[in-house]
Amino acid sequence: MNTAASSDVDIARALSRRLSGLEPDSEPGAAASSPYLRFAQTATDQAPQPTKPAEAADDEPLNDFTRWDEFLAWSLNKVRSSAAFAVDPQGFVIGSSGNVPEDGFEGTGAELSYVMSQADAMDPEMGSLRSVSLEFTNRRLSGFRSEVTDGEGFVIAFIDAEGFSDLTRDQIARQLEHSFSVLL
Amino acid sequence: MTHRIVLTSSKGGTGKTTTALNLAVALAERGRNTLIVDLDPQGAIGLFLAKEDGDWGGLAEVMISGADPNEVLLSTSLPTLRILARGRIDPVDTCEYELQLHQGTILAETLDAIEGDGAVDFVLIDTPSGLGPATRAALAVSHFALLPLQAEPVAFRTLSQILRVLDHVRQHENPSLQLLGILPTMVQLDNDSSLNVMSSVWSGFGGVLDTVIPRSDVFSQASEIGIPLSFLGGGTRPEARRFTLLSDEIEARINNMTGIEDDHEHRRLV
Repeated sequence: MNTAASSDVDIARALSRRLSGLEPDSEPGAAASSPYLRFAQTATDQAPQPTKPAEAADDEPLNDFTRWDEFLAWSLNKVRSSAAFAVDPQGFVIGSSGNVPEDGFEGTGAELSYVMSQADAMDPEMGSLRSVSLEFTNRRLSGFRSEVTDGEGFVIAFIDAEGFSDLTRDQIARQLEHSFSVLL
Repeated sequence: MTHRIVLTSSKGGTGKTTTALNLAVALAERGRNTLIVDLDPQGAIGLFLAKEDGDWGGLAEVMISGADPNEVLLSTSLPTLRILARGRIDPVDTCEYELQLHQGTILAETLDAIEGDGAVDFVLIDTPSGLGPATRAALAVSHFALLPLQAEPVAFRTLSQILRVLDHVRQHENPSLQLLGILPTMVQLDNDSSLNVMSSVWSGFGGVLDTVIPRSDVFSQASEIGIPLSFLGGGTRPEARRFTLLSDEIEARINNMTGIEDDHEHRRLV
């Protein structure tokens, strides 16, 4: 079936869920990575709206987060997920935000870290594993690795994210790099 | 409290006017003071009711001649239903009409004047197809948006467009605007492409109404005569009951969204 282009359907589905209150509001401008061009100001658009046809990861101002939960709350808002957590290079969950289950993400984080290290060794010629998206019967688990210290990757993971673009991933990684020394 | 509901979609022929008219009748028939506003430059409500293009005065007279909005309202055979028609505007001036609607405050002022202090329970604003100035003007003054979605692939492909505009208006122009719901229309579950669309809509979309409007010849019959479905002779049509269900669902959903509690009390069967 090709009822509609999948990206349009994904956008419509995400917007409908947000507008009907099933998912939290994201910050204004969260759709900046959309494929549309915008006029700087049109007759039908009274509010100033900068044209951002191709925003780069380093265009976004950096925040001075001091706590993991602050950073993760910002991250989950960017990818529109229900929860986010961070896993250190040893496989321990060091922070979480959003709809966190009572027993936390300790087990999930350790297993995700293990799965990523296994996948990393799948084929050395492919290079290092950057991200995974695992779809289970009930939930979706996505994560990416960000190397903020020499050779040591921290995993930032999301529950029920619609998926994240390379731009969003790079923005979060850049923010983590900026805040990392304070977060620790 | 008056609830303003804009019916809008970016694609034409999705059932906006049919829904606006039949939903307004259903609300009025259950005693709600209801106003239909025809914002479509084509004057779709008047055309649907088989009126000549220049028959009815309305919003254009308010905008161009400074008429009192309450003086140009049209009464109907239902005491609780009135119509603010498009008015006698020259089709040549469609662009000016739409731009003035959007750039000025005439629409909000007109509605305020008609609504008075709780004189109207529901205002249903029928808009032209597309995402132009008249639609944006309606979105800017409304509390709720109802999106008729024709259950066929092309209409489905445009759904992201209207949702994006709705999201933008809510963030930048009218924070009180809420998605009331997506209303599947012209549904044919025995047709593969229609079924495919409905399967997609029912899996993961937010705000989809339980009520669906099926495709049926009875709509053509009503439109040929120029009357709402429930006014057709020969007994109540099942399709007309759909709009009764829709009015019930919409009222319940608005109560839920605005925090109005259902005042029904427990009952005893025996």
